[in-house]
Parts: sequence; structure tokens; C-alpha cells
Amino acid sequence: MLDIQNLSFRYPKQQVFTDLNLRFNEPGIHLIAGPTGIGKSTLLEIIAGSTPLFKGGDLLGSIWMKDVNLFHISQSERVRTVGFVGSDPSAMFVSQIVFDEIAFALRFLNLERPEITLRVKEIARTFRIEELLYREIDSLSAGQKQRVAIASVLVVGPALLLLDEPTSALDPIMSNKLLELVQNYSRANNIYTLMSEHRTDRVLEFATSVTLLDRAATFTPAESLRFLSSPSVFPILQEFFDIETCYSVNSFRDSLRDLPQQQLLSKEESLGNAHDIVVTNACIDVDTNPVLHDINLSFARGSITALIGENGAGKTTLIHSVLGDYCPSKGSIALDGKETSALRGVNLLKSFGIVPSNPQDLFLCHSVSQECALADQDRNLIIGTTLNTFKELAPTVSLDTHPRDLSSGQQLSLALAIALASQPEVLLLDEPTRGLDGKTKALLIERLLQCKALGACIILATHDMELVAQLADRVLVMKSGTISAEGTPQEILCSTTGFQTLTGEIFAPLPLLTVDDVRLAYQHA
Amino acid sequence: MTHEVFETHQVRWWVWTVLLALAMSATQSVILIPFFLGLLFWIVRRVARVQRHTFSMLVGLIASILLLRIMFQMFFGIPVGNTILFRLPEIDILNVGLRIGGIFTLESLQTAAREAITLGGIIVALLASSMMIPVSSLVRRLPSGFSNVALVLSIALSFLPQLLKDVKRNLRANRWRGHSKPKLGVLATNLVNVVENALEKSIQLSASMWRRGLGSDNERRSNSLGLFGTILFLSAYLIAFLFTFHVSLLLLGLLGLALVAYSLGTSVTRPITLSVADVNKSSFVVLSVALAVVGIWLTDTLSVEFLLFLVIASLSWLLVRANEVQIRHA
Repeated sequence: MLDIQNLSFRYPKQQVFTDLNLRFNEPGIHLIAGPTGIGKSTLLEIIAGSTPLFKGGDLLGSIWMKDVNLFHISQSERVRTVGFVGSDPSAMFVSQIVFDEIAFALRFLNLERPEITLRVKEIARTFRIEELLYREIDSLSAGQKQRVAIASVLVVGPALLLLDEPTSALDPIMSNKLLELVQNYSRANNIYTLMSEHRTDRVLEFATSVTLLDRAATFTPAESLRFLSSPSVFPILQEFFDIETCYSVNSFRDSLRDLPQQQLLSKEESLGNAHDIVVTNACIDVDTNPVLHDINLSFARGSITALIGENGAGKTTLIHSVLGDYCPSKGSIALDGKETSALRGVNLLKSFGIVPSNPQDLFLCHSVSQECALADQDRNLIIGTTLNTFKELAPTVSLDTHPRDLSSGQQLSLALAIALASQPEVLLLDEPTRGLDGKTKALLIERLLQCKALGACIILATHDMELVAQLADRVLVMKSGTISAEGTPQEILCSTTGFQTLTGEIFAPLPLLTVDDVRLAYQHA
Repeated sequence: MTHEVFETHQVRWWVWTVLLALAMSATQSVILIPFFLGLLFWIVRRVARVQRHTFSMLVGLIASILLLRIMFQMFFGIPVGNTILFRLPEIDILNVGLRIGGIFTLESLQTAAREAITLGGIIVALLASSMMIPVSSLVRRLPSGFSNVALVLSIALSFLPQLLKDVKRNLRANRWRGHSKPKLGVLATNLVNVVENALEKSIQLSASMWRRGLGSDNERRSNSLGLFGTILFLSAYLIAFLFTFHVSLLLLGLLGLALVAYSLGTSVTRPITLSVADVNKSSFVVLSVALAVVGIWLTDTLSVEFLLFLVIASLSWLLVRANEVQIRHA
């Protein structure tokens, strides 16, 4: 049993928890949910022991794991008891080779060499990364890195596994595979897994319990449906069809199998004819490695294009190539006939807004208010424009907070505010919903549609299929550095295996991608 | 062209670069210095295949040091030799022997260039090591008694690579946000932020290592004999530092050797893989060690202290090895 008793924690400038009491009675995956900035990551770091040790703050209370107080155990006991994987596994890698990374913690357990090798190979087999053992970590895809990170903490056999947003950077197929692996491993080895996630819909069917931090209470997955905020699909569909509680695709499909097979008319797509960004036979090399091959594309103003594809397919490289960060080794990428890699200073700023996959890459100042003021100054905006956009996306953040100290969702909100405030001609977004809660995501969608209406060309790379279905006019599927398919969201998401929305999976083969599509199709049924 | 795989131990690579840096600092030979530097760059770029922009940054660093040193010599240095290249207006300061400008000689240029390349070479050698081999590979091999030192070391040693990454990140962010200042201007403006971020990332890395056992009191592999060997060496190094700077440099290299011996005994993981084009691996190792030794020899520092500490090094090595044998038998 994992028991959190009277936990209070305060960062120097912010109270995070006051007398938090939570109890997890059985092994399995326990989902931790709640709005952006509520303290999900902080809670996991406190349990792991690295906060307040490395980040500062005042901590009171106790955390008990099977009659052991985690605040009063030795370092070696802690390693054997708790394993932690952060939201960015790359930041925790301490070795270059996968084998070394997994063996790192075993090195401190006083084991003999053959035993270490055996354990590493065993965990690698469980997580299906055997063939990666002697690969360099930098060469792995995001999904492979996530599995290596989890394997490297589970190899010591902890009783408690802490995972911070483990699926946020993964495509739907990889995300399901990972959750399945963790669930099986937790069950087989009686491990308590605490997992913070915003994409709750995809995790619910694997979860034993759901803890909503804003309510400081734990529920069964079925009970939690009443409290999960948008964009959770299940409660909305459940209410619409007046069916019993379901929180997995298969159970929903079973419940709905008697419904009439409505056919939804395709949405009318209104793609502009003018192609303002033109990519012609572009080949992009990153550090002499060819990443994109012979790409031919065009993007029109007043449209939203979504790039989807497996991890490592080249989506981020394409985004940065359009921005001009990479110069094509062959071919060209031009905005209104001018090479984007030649754009600098005001010209670049006037044309482009970027939200990188790691929002921190955009920040230059010491506080949120300074970042916003700089963005206003750069773009000659009325003072406070960026700040107002940020307040809309993240209303509870103290403005003198250092951007580095924001939660991942709040950092993304700040990057979005900087990019959105000036309404650039071309808006590039790399994983724009990673770490965002439902409310903020809905606001983001609203703002992006406004930008589109004002004539912006929006290109987004994402694994969030719900976002693609709600926003995109056109979807490009990338595979191994090329465009493997192109079409409307309905054409692509209904025909490409593994890139369906949750609603799409429930109603397949009907082309119903969003809750609104379902409502429209069945409102007269 | 055929490519074969060359395996070297993480610590061995560090020792190689420390020895190379040591040799560069010690030698005065105008032939050896560029040779060492060329060898270092060849290894960094071709063997270890450091990314192109990182490599360019290292070359840029050497060029900047060279330029700054020559400028300094030109304006503030005391002229050496008689081969005058050009003459700048000369300003005496307070009549105390200090001056700005004046004659600039070929010999001054040579001296400044040699010193700059040496200094740049040492910095690049250490930077390359910390970039190519994660610092965790080194610090985790420290005995358990040094766990807190290891934690601090891990922050300190990973700081420079993180700083380089953050400099790149900052320059990119400035481009994205439409700032068109020159690179140096941008860095000067954001220096504090860049340094803070790099330190923060180093701390994150250390936190990750700590969560996974660094500093654990469970590591009993290095018992008192192993610890004694290491303490002996550290003490010897500190004592030597009180004598002369050169001797301390030599001892730093020898400390590295002791660490190699220690790590080879305790290493549990697979050695790192580097790829070498058309190079026989044994000749590579022999050549590197020979170059380091020649560098040291040319400085005439093969002194009594050096021999004394060679003996201590051997003793420590033997202690550590004996310790390992005991553990295996047990």
C-alpha cells in the first residue's frame, strides 16, 4: 500500500500542496490527473526524493510505502524502492549506450558482472529493446527512448514506479504499446505505478485508479468519468448515447453495436488556391545525415496543415526547415518566392511564429512578465498584448516566476502566447498540446481558428489525433523523411492504421472523428 | 575505404585527452604543438564523429583564443626579438614601464600564437572529452566514500557541455524571436541566463544520477584498500601542487592513470565504441601514449618528483588491483 499522509509542500514563492492525503491500495497503474500547473510532476518528484533536495522548497508530512517511510530511508533503499522517469527522458540519460544506461543503477547495488548483464538483458527482453542494447541513445526514436528510460529504472526492481507524462511525445500506436507493457509488468511484479497524464482517455482502460489532484481524491476509472474535464471523449459520448459507463474503445464499441450505421457527409474543405510556402524537391541533412528526401509541398494562407507520423519520421525537421533553421542540401523552401533560410531579424519575425517542441528553447528572460514584455517590444505591439494572451491560457501563474520554473503545460502556454500574440503570417507548432489540460487546449483551438480566419498559414506537427481532427484542413503523413500520404482528416485518419482518434476507433469504419461528428450523425437517430 | 570498430574504455579516453593536454602544456616544440592539435581534431571529428556544428564551434573557440591572444600581445605585450613586422602608435602609461601599442615583432607573434594554440588545445581537449563521454561514466567510478564529491563533480564537469548546448539554444531562440544582433552581442546580453540554464541542466543530470543510486551507501566494492590508494594519490597531488605547477600537471595525468586502473578493475559495462577508419587499433593506442610521453620528455620535467610519484602511482595501482582480486576471490 502507498500512503501519502498530510503532505504539504511549498516552493519559495508558491504553495503547491496543503495537507494532501492519498492512498493507493493495490498494485497497478494509478493515473494522476488535474489541470496544468496543479503539481502532478512536483508530487512525483517529491515521492522520488529529488524535490526538495535538488529544487528547494519546504516539505511536511510523510509518504509510506509498505510500512516504510520514504522520507526516512537510505539512498540505497530508495533506489531499490522508487523508480522515476521524467516527462523528458532525454534529460535523465547519463550514458551514451543503451546497455550502460540500463546498467547504471545496478552498478550501485554491488552485483557481479554476469548478474548485471543477465538483468539488463532480461528487462530489455520484457520491454522489447533487446536489439537496441548496443545502440547510441541519441540515435533512438522518442518511443524507444521512453522504453529505455523505463527499463533503466525498473531493472533494479523497485516496488514503486513514477512516470511523468510517459505518452505525451508518443504516437498513438507507440503509446498503447508502452501502456500495455507497463500494465503487464506492474501486474506481474506487484508494482505500484503512479502515472501523471493529460491524455487521460487513452490511459483510462489501463488504470486501476484515477487521482484528481484538483479534488485531492482518488476514484475508480468509471467514477472519474464524472469529473474528467474536456477533452475527455468518453463522458460526452456516454451522456449522448445514454449508455452505461465505458472507458475503453472495445467496451464502447460493444455498447454501440446496435446503433444504425449513419453515414456522415464529408466536411466541405476550403483550401485556398494560393500557395504561399512552396517546398520544391527539398532534401534536408542534419549533421550530414539525410533526414528529409525530395519533399514537394505547398502551404496556403488561411489553412491549417497537420503533420503526423511515427516518432522519428521527420516532422520536427520539416517544421524547422520551413522556418529556415536548416538549409536544403538540394531543392528549395520559399515563402512568397524568398528562401526562408535567408530570412533574418524583423523579416523573419513578421513572417513566422514558432512554438518548438521544447518550449524552453524560446525563452530568453528571467520572468514571465519580462518574456511577454520582450515579445511586445520585438513586434511593436501594445504593451500587455502578449501578457493578456498568456493570462488567458494560464490564469493562475505568478508573473515574476522564472520561465524555467513553470510546469511543462505552463511553459507551452507562454510559448504559445509569444507566438500567437503577434498573429504571424505563418505559425509553426511542434506538439502544441503536450502537457496542456482540456480547458487550455480548447482555448488554443479557438485561438488557432481565429488566426486561420485572419489568413495565417498554420502548420502543426502532432501526435494528438483529436487536435488534428478538430483543426486541420489537410493532413500530411510522414514516414522515413518523406510524405507517404496526404488528404483531409477524414481521408487520412479513417484509412491510416494507428492514427485514429479515440472516437474514430469507437465508430470505425464510420468516418466519425470527433464528438461533434458523432452528434451530427446521430442527432436524429 | 574500410571501417573497423575500435573499442576504448570511457575513462581511457579521458586519460588520453588529459595526457594530450598535459603534453601540449609542457612542450615548447613548434612542431609538436600543431601536431598534437591536428591529432586531437582528427580524433574528435573523424574517429569520435562529433557533430559538424560542434566541431565548428571547437575550431571557432581556438580561433577566438588565438585572435584575442595576438591582439593582447600587439597592444599590451612586451616586444620579443628584433624582426619588426609593423609599428603602432605607442602610449606610455604613468611612466612605470606599462605601454599600449608600439612595435610588433615576428617573435612576439610566434610566442603569442604558440601560447594561444596551447591554451586553446587544452580547453578543446577537455571539452571534447566531456562532450564525447558523459561525465556520469567517470564519476560513478569514484569510491563510495566520495559520493558527495562525485555528485558535485558531476555538476561541475557536465557544466561546460551544457553551457555549449545552451549557447546554441540561446542563439537559435534569438533568431526565432527576430533579434538580429551579432552573436557575441546576443551572448553578452543573455550571459547570466545562459549560465543559469546550463547549471540547472547540470543539476538535473545529477539529480537523475542520484535517483538511480549515485551516492548510494550500498557500494562496498571499493573497500578500504582501494580507498586508501585513491586518498594516497589525491594527497600526493595536493602536496605536489604546493611545489610547482608543472609537477602538479604531471600528477594530474598520473591521477588519471590511477583512475584508469581503478575503473578497469571495477568496470561492469561494455566499453564505448568508437569507429576508426583504416587505423590499426593497437598502433593508435601506442602512438597516443608515445606522443604524451614525448611531450612530457621534451620539457625536461622528468624530475625526481616525477619518478617519486611514478612509484606512488604504481603502488596505488597495485593496491587497487590486489583489492579487486581479493573481492573476486571472496
